[in-house]
Amino acid sequence: MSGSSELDFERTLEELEEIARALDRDDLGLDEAIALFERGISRLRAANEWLETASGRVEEIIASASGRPETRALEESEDGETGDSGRG
Amino acid sequence: MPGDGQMALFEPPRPDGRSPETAISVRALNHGTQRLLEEHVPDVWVRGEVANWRTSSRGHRYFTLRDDAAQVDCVLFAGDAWRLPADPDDGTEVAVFGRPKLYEARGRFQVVVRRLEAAGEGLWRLAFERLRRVLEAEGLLEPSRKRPLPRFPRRVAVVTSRDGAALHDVLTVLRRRSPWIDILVCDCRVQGEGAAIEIRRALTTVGRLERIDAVILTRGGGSTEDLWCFNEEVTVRAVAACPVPVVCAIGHEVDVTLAELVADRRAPTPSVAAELVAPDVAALRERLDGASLALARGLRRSVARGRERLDRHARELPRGVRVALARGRERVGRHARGLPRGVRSALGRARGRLGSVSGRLDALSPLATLARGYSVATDLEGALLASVERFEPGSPFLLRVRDGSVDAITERTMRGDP
Repeated sequence: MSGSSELDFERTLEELEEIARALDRDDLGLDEAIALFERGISRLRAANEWLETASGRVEEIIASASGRPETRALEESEDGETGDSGRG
Repeated sequence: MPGDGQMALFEPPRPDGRSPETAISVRALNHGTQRLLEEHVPDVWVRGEVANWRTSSRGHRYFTLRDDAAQVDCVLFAGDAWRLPADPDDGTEVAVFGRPKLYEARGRFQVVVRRLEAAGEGLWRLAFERLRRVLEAEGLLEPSRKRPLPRFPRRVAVVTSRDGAALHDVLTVLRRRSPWIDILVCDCRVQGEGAAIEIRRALTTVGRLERIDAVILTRGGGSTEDLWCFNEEVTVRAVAACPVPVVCAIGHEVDVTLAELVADRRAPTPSVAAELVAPDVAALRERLDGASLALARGLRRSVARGRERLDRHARELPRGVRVALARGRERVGRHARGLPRGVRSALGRARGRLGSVSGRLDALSPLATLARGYSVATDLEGALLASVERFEPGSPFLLRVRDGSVDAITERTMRGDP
């Protein structure tokens, strides 16, 4: 993943939904409401941005002599699109 | 042969086997017979009942094939025996494909078998059931062993053939549904001799990687034999031992392999396996939109409640309300600049209503009248003194003017026009 990949999207989304629920309470003062709203908006922005920009890498694992697996970018072979090849 | 003509004179005549003097050697007999077989008898399918099945230390299988009138020795060398899903029990009806041959050193007639099949898929089913019973006894098929898949995976490993259609399907679905996922492909053969060992190696490698959330083990459709490596004990135990949850999709929906039964989740196709692992980005966007609307709705309701309270207080405290309204309006304006469009227009409407409330307050307020140069008399508690009746000569009162108030004392009072 690249860009703002460090965001814990799932948690941010949950927080956002919690804030939305809290904002729905009837006994909320205007100050509290505005503070919650501001927090919600900042979460919303962060989550949206992450969703639009996060993009994963596709790599293949190559066995190394040391036994510690290494990776390199996968170049997809064209065979993949031609149905079942001999190697299934 | 160039030497034959010259050497013929010095060689003994070739034996022809028609008299004791011309008897041929055993070696020549066997060799000649084997050559006849080789030249005139093709590879052939033979059916019969298995007897005396045994396995040599090097993995070769020796057995007898027989019917009620005859029998023939058979050998299945280790290089071909790996295809055998299970060793047949004695008495099993089988068909073997191979070459009739004379084993010259021993003069033994035998069939060198390359393939052996029981009626239907007998041997496959036999092997499948044998291992399934073992796995069941060990508890490896228990539903309680199944681990839940991560709800929001970041790194997913795919164990399959790099050249297979399955990989393409899995990558397409993963990228479409969860473009943020890092995908690690671990190549292995998925059919044929040695495939099970490669699958185990791949799963072991993947298990050693850090922060892998799930593994997809998959291959596309194929014959029972093609898919067999996913029923081999080596593969099945590697799946069971994998430290991360495994989703397994082998062949088509009708094909069920033991690897799939042991995996944490089974999927009917490679694409569905990917769908099980990858949350759909569209659904996440919907959740974000839902939360966004809920935020706007919540704020709107809070503002509405606040306004009601302001209206209530405004009737009692005209001056304080003006200040509060101005302050509130300023704050609302400040926040509104940071809002998404939908929320902004909602706030715009709210602000319009706030404006009309404060307009009404202005109209009702005495402050507007004072501003035009009039003054208002009140007693020291602030109660309006609107009639001469309320003034006592010699008593103090307050005169409120545009920019403040004046302490005053009543000298005398008079009725009628001032």
